[in-house]
Amino acid sequence: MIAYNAVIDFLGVLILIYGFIILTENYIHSLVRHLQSQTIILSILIIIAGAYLKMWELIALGIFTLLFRALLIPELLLRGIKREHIWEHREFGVKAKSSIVMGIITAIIGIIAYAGIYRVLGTWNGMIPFILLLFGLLIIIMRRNALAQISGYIVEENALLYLGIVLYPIGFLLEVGILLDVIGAVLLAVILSAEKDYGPIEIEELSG
Amino acid sequence: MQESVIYSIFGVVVAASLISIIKNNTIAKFANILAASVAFILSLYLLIQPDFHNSWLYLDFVTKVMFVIITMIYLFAALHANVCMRNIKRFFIPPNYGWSLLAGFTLTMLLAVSTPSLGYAWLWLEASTIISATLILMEKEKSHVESAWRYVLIASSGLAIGLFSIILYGEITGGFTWVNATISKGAILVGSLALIGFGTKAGLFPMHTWLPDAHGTAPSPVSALLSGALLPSSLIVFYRIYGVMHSLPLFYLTAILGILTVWIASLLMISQKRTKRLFAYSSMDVMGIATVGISLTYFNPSAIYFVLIVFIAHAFGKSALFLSAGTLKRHGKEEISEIRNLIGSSKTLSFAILVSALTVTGAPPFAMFFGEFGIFISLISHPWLFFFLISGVLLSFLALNYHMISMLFSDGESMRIKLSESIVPFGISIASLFLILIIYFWGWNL
Repeated sequence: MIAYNAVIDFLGVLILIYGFIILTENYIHSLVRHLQSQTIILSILIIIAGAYLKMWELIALGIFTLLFRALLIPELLLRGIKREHIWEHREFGVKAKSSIVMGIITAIIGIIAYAGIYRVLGTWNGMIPFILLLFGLLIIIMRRNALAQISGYIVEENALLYLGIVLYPIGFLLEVGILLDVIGAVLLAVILSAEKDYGPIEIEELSG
Repeated sequence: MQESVIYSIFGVVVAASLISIIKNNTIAKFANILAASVAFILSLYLLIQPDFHNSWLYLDFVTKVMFVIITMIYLFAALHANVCMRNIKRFFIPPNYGWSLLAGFTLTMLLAVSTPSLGYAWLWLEASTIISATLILMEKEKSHVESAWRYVLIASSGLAIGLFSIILYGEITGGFTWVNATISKGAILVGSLALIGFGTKAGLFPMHTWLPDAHGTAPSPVSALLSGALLPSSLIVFYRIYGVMHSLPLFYLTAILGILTVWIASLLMISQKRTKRLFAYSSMDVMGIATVGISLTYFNPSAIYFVLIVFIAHAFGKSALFLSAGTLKRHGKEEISEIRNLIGSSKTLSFAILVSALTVTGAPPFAMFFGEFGIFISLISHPWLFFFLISGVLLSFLALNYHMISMLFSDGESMRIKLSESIVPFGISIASLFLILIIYFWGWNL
C-alpha cells in the first residue's frame, strides 16, 4: 500500500510538472510533445491503479488513453502543424515570464482552495489533480491559439481522470475517459478542417 | 409498463438517428418527424402513468414533464427544419447527418434527465455538448466555427467543474445516485461546485458567455432545442443534486446567482441588435428565474412545480420565437433594425411572435405568469431577494417587448412571407394559448 501510494504520488508530481511546462511553453510543436509526455505518464498511472485495485475498467481506460490521447491525438496535431507552417511559430501573445508567474499564483490559490476541500474529504490525494485542473482552465483562458487551447482542454481531461483515480475510482470513469477523448478528437477535426478554409483560428477572447 | 414506454421513446429516437445516417435527406426528414411525433405521444402517455424507478431509470413527475418538453421541441424543430435548412448556403456536414445529430441531441437530453446516477447525467450532458456543437457547425462559416469552439471550451470547462463536484459527491456519499441520498458533510462545497458546473451549461451568470454566440449562430431548430430543452435539462440535473445538499447557505448562493442572471440578461437584452442573440439572452433570463425557483425547494419542495410551469411555457414561447427568427433569416432579416412592419408582412408570424414574447416575459395571463407568480409568492418571505427578482423580471419584460413592438408595428418595408413558412410558429403559439387553460384548470391541483 505504501509503495503503491509512493508510485502514484511520484507519477502525480511528474504530471503536475508537465502541466506547469505546458502552461509556460510558447512553441506549439514543443507544447504538443510535452502534452504527449504528460498523457503517457497518466496512462501508466491509470494502468498501475487498475492493476493494484483489480479493476479491469481502469486498465482498459489506461490502454485507451495511451493509444488515443497519448499517441493518436498528438500525431494528428503535429501533422496539422506541419501542414500549416504558421503553427510552428511562437505564440507571440503569450509571454513566458507572465505564464510562470500566473502558474505559480494559480498553484498557490489551488493549495489554499484545496485546504477547504481537505476539511471535508480528510485527504490530500486530490490536491495535485485539482491544481492541474486549474492549470488546464488557465491555459484555455490565457491562450488565443486554438491548438494551444486544445492542449488546455487535454490537460483538464488528464486532471479529471487523475482526480477520479485518486479520489473515487469507479467504473464510469471508462465512459468519461472515452467521451472526453471523443470530444478532443472532434475539436481537433473541426479546427484542422476549418484551418484549411480560414487559416489559423485565433479566438480573441472567450466572451460572447 | 413505464419501462417499456421509456425504452420505446429511446428506441424510436435512436432509429431516426440511424436511418438518417444511411438514408438521404428526404427520408431522414420524415424519419425524424415520425420519430418525434411518436416520442411526443408516448411522453404524453407517460404523464398519466405512475412513478417508476430502477437502477437505470428514474421516472417521477419532473422526469415526465421534461420528457414532454424535450420531445415536443424535437417535434417542432423537425417540422420547421425544412424552412430553416434552405437558409444554409454551404454545409459543413451533410444535411442527413444533421438530422441524425438532431435525434442524437434529443436522446442525450432524455437520458440525462431520466437517469438516477449523477455520473451518467453528467456524461449525457457532456455528450449533448459535443453533438449540439456539431449542429452549430452545420453551416460552414468562420463565425460558426468560432461559436462552436467557444461553446465547447466554455461548456466543457464548466462541466469539468461539475464532474469534480460529482466525484466529491461520490467520495462523501459513497455512491452517485441522488435517490434517497443524504450528505453528512461538504454540502456547500459540492453544491456550489455543481452550481458552477451545471450552471455553465444552463447559461447562468457569469458562465453564460457561450450562450448568445451558440444560440445566435446555430440553425434555428437547433437554437430552439438548445434554449427550450438543453438549458432546463442542465438545471434539472442541478436540482437533483441541490435536493440532496439541503443547505441554507446554498439556498442564498443559488438564489442570488439566479437573480444576478436575470439582471445581467435583462440589461444585455436592451442593447441587442440581432434577433437570435436577443432571444438567447431572454433564455438566460428565464433560466435565472427557474434557478431562483429551484433554490426555493429548500423551504418548499413543491416549488419545483412552478419551475416546471416556467420550463413548459418557455419551451412553447422560445421555440416559436427561434423558429420565427429562422423564417425571418430566410428573408435575409437577422438584425432587429432591419425588421419593420412585420404585421404587414405576415399576420400569422406576427401573432406567433407577439404571443410568444408575452409568454416568455411572463405577462398575465400567459402560461409563464403562473409559474413566475408562484416563485414570487414563495420568495416573499425574503423581501430583498423578492424585490431584486421582481424588478429584474420587469426590466426583462420591457427590454424584450420593446424590441418586439418595434419589429411588429413600426413603419417600414414589408416582406412577402408565405403561410407555409410561418405555420409552425403560429401553431405553437395557438398551443401555448391552450396551455393557459390547462395550467389554470389543472395546474393549481399540483
